[in-house]
Amino acid sequence: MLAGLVCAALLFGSMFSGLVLPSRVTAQTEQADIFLYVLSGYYMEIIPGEPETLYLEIENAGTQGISGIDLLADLPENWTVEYTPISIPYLCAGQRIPLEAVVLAPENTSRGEYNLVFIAETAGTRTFGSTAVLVRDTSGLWQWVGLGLGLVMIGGFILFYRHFNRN
Amino acid sequence: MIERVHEHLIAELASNARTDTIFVLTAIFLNLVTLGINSGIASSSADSTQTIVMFTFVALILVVNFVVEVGLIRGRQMRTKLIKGLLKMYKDQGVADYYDPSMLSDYALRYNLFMLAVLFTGLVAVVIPFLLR
Repeated sequence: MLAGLVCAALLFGSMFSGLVLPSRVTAQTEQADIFLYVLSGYYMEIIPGEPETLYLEIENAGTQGISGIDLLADLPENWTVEYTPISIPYLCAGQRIPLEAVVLAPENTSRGEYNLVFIAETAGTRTFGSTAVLVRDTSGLWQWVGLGLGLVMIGGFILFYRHFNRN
Repeated sequence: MIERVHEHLIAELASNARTDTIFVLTAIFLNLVTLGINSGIASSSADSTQTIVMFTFVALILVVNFVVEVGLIRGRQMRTKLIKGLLKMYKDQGVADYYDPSMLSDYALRYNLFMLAVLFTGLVAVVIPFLLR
């Protein structure tokens, strides 16, 4: 009975201290924590068929070095990405390495917003950074349509003005 | 009788001014509202339904603006005729010196400026959404 009460008190005390007081957990073993940051920001504009370079940074925030980091990506269909460097053989603890990701959207990509997810993977650890990019219509068709309509409007106004002013 | 004619001319002038004011305000309001709607559509994803809606609004702008421009041209002509009639009446009554005939050209300039304002807001409402697309 007493032992049960002591156990309950200890359990309650540990829960309470964890909830109320800021606790710091000291790592007993070395661990690797990798983070991937997209530095280029959100809503970059991408032109279909033209490569666009995005800047990333990978960080090992852990206490142990990591070897053999593969760089992957989860992209919309037919999009490609080329990383520089292609992979990271070794990342020391606390080290940051800048990366370049050259993203290429296919020519027939329609206008809109797309999510790009960049992934860094190693044995037992996987992290990702994501960003959204905007694809704009660069054919200029709509701009010409708009200008054409504007000219029609001006021409029509001149015709109306001359016709009705004369009468 | 001449007093009745005078009252009639004045009433016609007032009615003419009111109609033209409604024309100008309606056209500018419609142009600005359509500019907002079409810009919103143009900034969103581009599918065929939205394109049709955009072109429908463009047709609305074109029709309303041409109607308003013609209405303003006719309104200006009507005002000129009414003021000329008034001037002739004042001349016959020997009080023409009190009415400056240069007001006719002032009114013409004002009407041209109204038409320019309508045309320009219409142009902006038509062209800008397509530039955003």
